[in-house]
Amino acid sequence: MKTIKVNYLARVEGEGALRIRFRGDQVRDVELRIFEPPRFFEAFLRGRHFAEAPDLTARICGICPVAYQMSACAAVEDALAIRVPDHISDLRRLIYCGEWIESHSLHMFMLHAPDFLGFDGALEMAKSHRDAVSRGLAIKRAGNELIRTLGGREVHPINVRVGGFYSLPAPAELRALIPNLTAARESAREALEWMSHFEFPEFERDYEFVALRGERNYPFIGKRLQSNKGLDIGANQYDEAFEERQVSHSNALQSVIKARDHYVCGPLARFNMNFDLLTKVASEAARGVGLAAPCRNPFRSILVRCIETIEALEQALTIIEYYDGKGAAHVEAKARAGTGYGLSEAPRGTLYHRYRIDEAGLIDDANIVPPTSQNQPSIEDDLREIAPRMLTLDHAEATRLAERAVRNYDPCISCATHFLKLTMERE
Amino acid sequence: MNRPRARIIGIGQDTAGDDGVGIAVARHLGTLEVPADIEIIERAEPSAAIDLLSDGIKQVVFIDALVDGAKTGRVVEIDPSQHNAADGRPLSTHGIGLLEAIELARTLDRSAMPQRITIVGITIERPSRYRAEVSAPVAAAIPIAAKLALGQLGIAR
Repeated sequence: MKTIKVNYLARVEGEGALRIRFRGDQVRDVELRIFEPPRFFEAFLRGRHFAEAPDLTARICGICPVAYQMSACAAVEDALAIRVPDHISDLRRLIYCGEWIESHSLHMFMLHAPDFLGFDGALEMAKSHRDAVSRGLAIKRAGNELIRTLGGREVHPINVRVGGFYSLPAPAELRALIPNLTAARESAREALEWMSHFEFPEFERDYEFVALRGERNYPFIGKRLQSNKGLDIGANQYDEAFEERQVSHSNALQSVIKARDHYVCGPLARFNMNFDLLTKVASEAARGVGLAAPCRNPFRSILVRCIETIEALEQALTIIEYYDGKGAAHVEAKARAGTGYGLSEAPRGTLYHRYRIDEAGLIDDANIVPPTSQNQPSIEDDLREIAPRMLTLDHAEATRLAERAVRNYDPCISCATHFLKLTMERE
Repeated sequence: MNRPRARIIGIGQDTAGDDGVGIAVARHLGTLEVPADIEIIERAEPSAAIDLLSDGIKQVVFIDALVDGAKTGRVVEIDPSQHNAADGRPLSTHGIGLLEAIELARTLDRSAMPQRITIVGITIERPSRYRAEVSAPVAAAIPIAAKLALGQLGIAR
């Protein structure tokens, strides 16, 4: 039996490993092992006041704290029957744009692009692709500036609260960001053209893509979750449609659709489910590099992330253009007993929060389903399908291919337990 | 402020326990009478400091937490040119380490790099649980690290 082992996955968030066992030329099993210890966030939310949920859950991840804040706010506000006005919704979308921009640019330029160009990392890639790396850093900076301006700081923003924000920015503060955001949008278009010439492995599967369906815009925060295979539910039906399973080889739960099984969330799913909602600028950029829905090749997710970066920059510029600074910073939130459900689109995929709150406003039950828990079974399916190709490669090349297949999903293991050691065993 | 002659950059985050000691030292420096041509800056993570190395500044001192197995609260001066960028693995794998960030800035624009870069490192234990404030041994190291950072710039305290 041959075993391919990657003992520690590089360029992914968190600690995990991969083992693939073969009998002859047949793949016997694939295990994406997430051994980062569980973090028990749901448990320590119990007994805490609902107002603490956005900031506590933001601590789950340093790369997508805004996503946790937004899903937490959506769920708490659902429980408290609060509806926020449009200017708050727009500013939430704006800070979320900042997170997509900084998170996607980090993944594309620092973690994923080196795979396509044969480098071990961004530092080696920068020696011969200086302009590309500089461009990536400038795009990321524009995203970080947006989060800092609206959220008070770049990582774990402090200006988000249930009902809205602690304070609203002055229009001039946001308008000051326009030059860098505009330059970043042009840089992202140039980057998309650059990346479109990468060599993408031939690989497609018949995935079930699950994503929020936008109402008017390409979605960040929303109410309806849909798939290309007929799923169409509200946030309050999430627990009926999905289940989280424990597997012996991973500290992360694996989420599946009860009626069918494995599915994919994240950029590829959002793109395929909402292609018609892309702004004209992002849609034209996609068509310019020959990309349209449906895209079923996960290796092309780097292109989709770049299109989503253009989308986020375009949406951000539009929100800022119309922002007048008027309106209350937040809606008052009064305690009442109830259960609330919240969905938003983190950079890596759909993030679900559910809270049950008592009359005093204390959380007595919480459930959080991050994107990596949802994508982990599909990552293993991709690896199972791609594994026979590894048998023709030496161990270093096989490991590189396996890691690429994992990085297509930009998994965040810190969120899921919360990465890779490849073991290939052949009988 | 006119163009600063040097920059002190504290790396870290609030409510990150001992991992936030870099910004705690930067804030402590803010309470001291530091010459006006010394810029004191906080950054949440190293990649956000790359720009601060390529704008023509002559000298930069970084202050950051260090997980090196030494006694918690030990303060050391590190010359990044004496280390391989890969030696300094970040605590988060979704970012880049300080040594990598410095090397990346050098790779992108060597001509614009400061003439001198040093790191003041404060040893912490590998964070394993939530903690808002820095621990007592790391708190005790804050003025020592501040003094060492100023000493790098020829300012005696």
